[in-house]
Amino acid sequence: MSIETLKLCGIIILLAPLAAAVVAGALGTRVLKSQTHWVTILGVGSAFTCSCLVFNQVVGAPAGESMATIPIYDWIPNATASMFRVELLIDPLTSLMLLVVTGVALLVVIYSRDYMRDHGQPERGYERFFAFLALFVFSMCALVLGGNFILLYLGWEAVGLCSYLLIGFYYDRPTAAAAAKKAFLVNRVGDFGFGLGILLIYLTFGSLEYTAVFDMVSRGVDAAGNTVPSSTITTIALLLLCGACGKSAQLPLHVWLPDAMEGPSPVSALIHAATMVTAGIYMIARCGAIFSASATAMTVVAVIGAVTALFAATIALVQTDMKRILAYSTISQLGYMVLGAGVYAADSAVFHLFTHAFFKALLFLGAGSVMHAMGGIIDLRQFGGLRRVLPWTFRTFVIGSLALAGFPLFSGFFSKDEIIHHALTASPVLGVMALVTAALTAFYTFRMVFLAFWGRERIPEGVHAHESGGWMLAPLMILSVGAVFAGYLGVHAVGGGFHEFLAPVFEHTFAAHRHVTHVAGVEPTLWDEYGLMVVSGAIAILAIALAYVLYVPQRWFPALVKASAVRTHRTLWNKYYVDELYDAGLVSPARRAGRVCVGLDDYLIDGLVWLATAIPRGLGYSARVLQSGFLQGYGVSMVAGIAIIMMFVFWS
Amino acid sequence: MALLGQTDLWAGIDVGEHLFLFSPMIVLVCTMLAVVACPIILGRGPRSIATVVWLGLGITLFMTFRVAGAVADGGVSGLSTQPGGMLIADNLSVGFQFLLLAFLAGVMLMWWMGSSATERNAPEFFILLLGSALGMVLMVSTTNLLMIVMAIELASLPSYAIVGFEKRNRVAAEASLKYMIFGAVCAAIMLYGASLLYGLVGSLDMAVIASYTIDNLSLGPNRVLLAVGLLCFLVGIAFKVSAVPFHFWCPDAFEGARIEVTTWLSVVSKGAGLLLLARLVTVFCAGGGADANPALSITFLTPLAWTIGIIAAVTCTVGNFAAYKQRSVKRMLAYSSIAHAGYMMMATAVFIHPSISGSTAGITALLTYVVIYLLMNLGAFGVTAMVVWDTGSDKIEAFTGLMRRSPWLAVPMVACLMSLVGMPPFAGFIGKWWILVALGRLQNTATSSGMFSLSTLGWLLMIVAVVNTFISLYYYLRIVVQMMFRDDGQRTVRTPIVGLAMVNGCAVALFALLIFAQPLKRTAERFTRNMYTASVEQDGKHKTLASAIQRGTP
Repeated sequence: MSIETLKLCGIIILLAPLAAAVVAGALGTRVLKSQTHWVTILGVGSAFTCSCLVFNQVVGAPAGESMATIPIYDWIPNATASMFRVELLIDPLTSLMLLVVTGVALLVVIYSRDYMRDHGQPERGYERFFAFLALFVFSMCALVLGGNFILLYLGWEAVGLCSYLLIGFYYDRPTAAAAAKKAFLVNRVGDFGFGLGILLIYLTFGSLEYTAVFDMVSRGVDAAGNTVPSSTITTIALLLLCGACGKSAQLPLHVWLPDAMEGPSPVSALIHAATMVTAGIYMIARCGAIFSASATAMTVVAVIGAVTALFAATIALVQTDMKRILAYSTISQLGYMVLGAGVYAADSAVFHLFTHAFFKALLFLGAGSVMHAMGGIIDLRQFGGLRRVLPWTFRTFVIGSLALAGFPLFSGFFSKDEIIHHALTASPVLGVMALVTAALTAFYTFRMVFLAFWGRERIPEGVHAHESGGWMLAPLMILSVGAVFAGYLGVHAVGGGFHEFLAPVFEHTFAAHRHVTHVAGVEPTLWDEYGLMVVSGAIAILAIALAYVLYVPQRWFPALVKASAVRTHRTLWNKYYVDELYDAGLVSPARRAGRVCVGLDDYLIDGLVWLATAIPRGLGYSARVLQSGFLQGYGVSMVAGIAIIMMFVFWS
Repeated sequence: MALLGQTDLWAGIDVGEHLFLFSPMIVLVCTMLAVVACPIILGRGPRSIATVVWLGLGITLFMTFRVAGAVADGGVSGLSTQPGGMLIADNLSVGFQFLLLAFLAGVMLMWWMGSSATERNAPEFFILLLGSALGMVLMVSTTNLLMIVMAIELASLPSYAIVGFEKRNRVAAEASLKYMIFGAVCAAIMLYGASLLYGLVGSLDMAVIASYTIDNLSLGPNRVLLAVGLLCFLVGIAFKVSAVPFHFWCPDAFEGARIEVTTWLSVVSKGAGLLLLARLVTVFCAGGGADANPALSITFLTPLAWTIGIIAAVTCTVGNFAAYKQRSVKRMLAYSSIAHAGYMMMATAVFIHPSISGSTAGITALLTYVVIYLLMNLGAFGVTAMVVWDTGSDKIEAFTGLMRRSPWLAVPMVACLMSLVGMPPFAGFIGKWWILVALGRLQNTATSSGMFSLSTLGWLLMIVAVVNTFISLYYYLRIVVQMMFRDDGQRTVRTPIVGLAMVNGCAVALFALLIFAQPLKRTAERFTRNMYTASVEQDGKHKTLASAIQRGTP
């Protein structure tokens, strides 16, 4: 690989979106106005082009040379050591993530050009939206490109900030403002653990650079050569997992993601489905050396993933807001990925991340298209039968749904199947949970599809429903191609080399610890190879068929369920009362403590501050008296000053 | 010992080479002459005068670039038959010339936006401005007491006049008069000190004085005479730097003068004074390393370091406290500039001790800080200027709601103020950080210990600097609060586009310099490397090329 080319590409990938953000933010309101999207398209487009170049370089690299650390510069160099080095790490995982991030971002930006308009007129804050989007792309690229934990943390926090800004994009809407605040605060909990984990890494190994740290971890020693106790590694891994739980919305920190749907739909597609929420999975994969060195931590990872997947899927069964269903589905799919990483199949997790980016972005953008057509209404109870009204949205949405449901031969099918396979191998319990989740996924996905697009045509009053324009449909179509075919990249039978491509990243970490599935010398049977595929495919088809039977011919089923299982339904409808639990257990006490603190602050602290500033104020007053404006006084002070200095010099 | 007039001035001097090395100064003089001639040929219009000045500055810049190449590998002193030479051209003086030219361009822009429309006396204004600029360039380019006195006077006299340039303005006239009287007193004290030193040592060259000091440590009464002479001489520099208690002229002059003049005086005249001090201290120490001469360190260098350090600490503290209650932003920035002179002066106390590792850390930190300080002050004064021009008031109330009224003014103002505080997203942080690092390097050597040791001084100054940063937060934030959280519905500020570009450029540069801190430090190191340090030859033979001491970072 030519390092210079990679360095240049890396810099462009980072700076082009940043420059776009600055230009859009600075010139948007006055100069660019309704044309601001061009700036962001240009910036993200350049980043995408360079990502393709980087990917190409990495693919073409000879075996064993597909990884490069590229130092850019030292910040505040000191005589002893660099405090903080800006360096990029480019390897197959990074190049793949870059491709996903910039590619989906480019499509979303194109889509937003029309989505953020109302009857052709840009919405209020149009330029702000595009500036934030570009800033997000920069942050996310910094996160995946960074070659040390500081850059990772920087990108981590920056994407959180962009997420906050974009969830609260309609800040005059109280629900949006509250959702943004919630997302920020919940993430703070996770990030606190994440920050502690990074600090512990630094304290233990004395370095924050990936290569150095991972090398030491794999050898089990610190920089001085002392053995690091395995409990320390486990602690580090669990603290990092805290961060992943926050960012990737895993239990128990999942509560922010459904509320985050208050943001504009393109934001949900890009940030809260395809890219930012997968940062946690990326981080676990990147820190494979740390995680796979601790069996305890890996068990925790796998259990959290499996439970989250199942838990979120059950909630999605009864929701009626299309975007919320998709949000719970995202949590559930992220659970799959975490589960995959937890059973030492990080390559499968990343594979699912890859396919998920296509079909989930597609679904969110499709839901956005529906919402756009329905005049901002997204509740399934208020519309239905949109098949003929929105033909292209309908077609692409169904493709995305088939992929999500794991319908055979669609992309989600292959990637999900791999994770279930590895989960079953690792532990039957986890495997069965994953299988049940797969069935639920297929069911709730098609419940949504049938309610929205089948049946009698119902459109909210006063809404002129219309199919979206080319700016919105083109990304949908491109993504649906990906949703169908992306999965084949991981299928050996058709020449897909996804796992081989990623193998160098994981060969010494996850792959080295993976449970041996094939005993050497024993040919895998047909069942080993295809049995699970048949089972999970059948499950998906059956669940879809069930959804059809229950929701399409006659709609008596929901009422029956509500009536017969009132309590279960209510529990699911209220998302297992997690929000209420947090509210009673954490938020209310925190509020009360906050009121006490405000009281203390107003009276005790302010009083102390007043006292503390009394001295400077007094001195300031005396300085003013000294500066009276009379030259004689100045002269006297000056001479006195010289005298004092001389006394000091001769006395000491 | 002969003074200038009594010897053959040009004997043994490579005149051509030396004239080339000092060509930037010569071009500045020629520009002043051109400005004098311009009214006769082209008329007194501001436009023609400004064109001539821009042209002159361009040629000066060009010549400075050429000189920079010539002196990169070692300083040269020249234009004298005396040891040490009258003028010095080395990396430091060239670096300061670059800074001065950049800042002069900024001040010219401000003048063009604010005053050129009503300017009736453009030629006089520019003669004074360029005159003081020349004086400041000379200040950084010499170690000869006579030249220093002359340079300081050359920098000061036009400054007095330019402060009172608005003849009909009572405040300006009063400020100018005060400034002048105060300056005259300080000049007198300085000359007194210089004459004492000359009487004692028989030379005006700082290097000779330094070597005399080493040779005659047990002078008895003469030691007192030497100290008094040095301290009195220091007063002149302290006046330029506006160190407490020689700072009284500063707030009045800054408030009375036009805002572009205030900007000019706030940065460059202080920068020149500080770099002069730094140079003198370097030369004083280079005469004999402290390790080679422990007695010198104990009897002389440590007390001198403490003197400078304590003046710095007091300056910093007084400046910050006095800024507390100011209602006028201009006056507040004047006090802020006193406080910043204190921070920068701390860096000159650092490398008093050349044997200590990292002795260049001090001067590098100083030069970096001057660069950053230049940007923050140009930005802050630029915004203040535009508010003053439009609203006619420099009171803090004129800034109310500026964030809504003119975000393109308010944002750079916030950036510059935060940078002045030393807050991390801006370069002011890094400047202060390096000064603190340099202070931390003041270690105890075997030769200096006890209560008044250098390491005690380093810690003391560090604490003072940090506490002062907290104090300063209050009055800088007051403006920020006034701009962002108060609003009384005043109208938008009308601003020239060039001014907006200037202040926003400053803000962006402050941000960029934090990110690209390393190139900044490299540049500062480049301009403090190979500083001219006279190695004194006692026999008094004339010497044009001084030994250049390689000063790399440890």
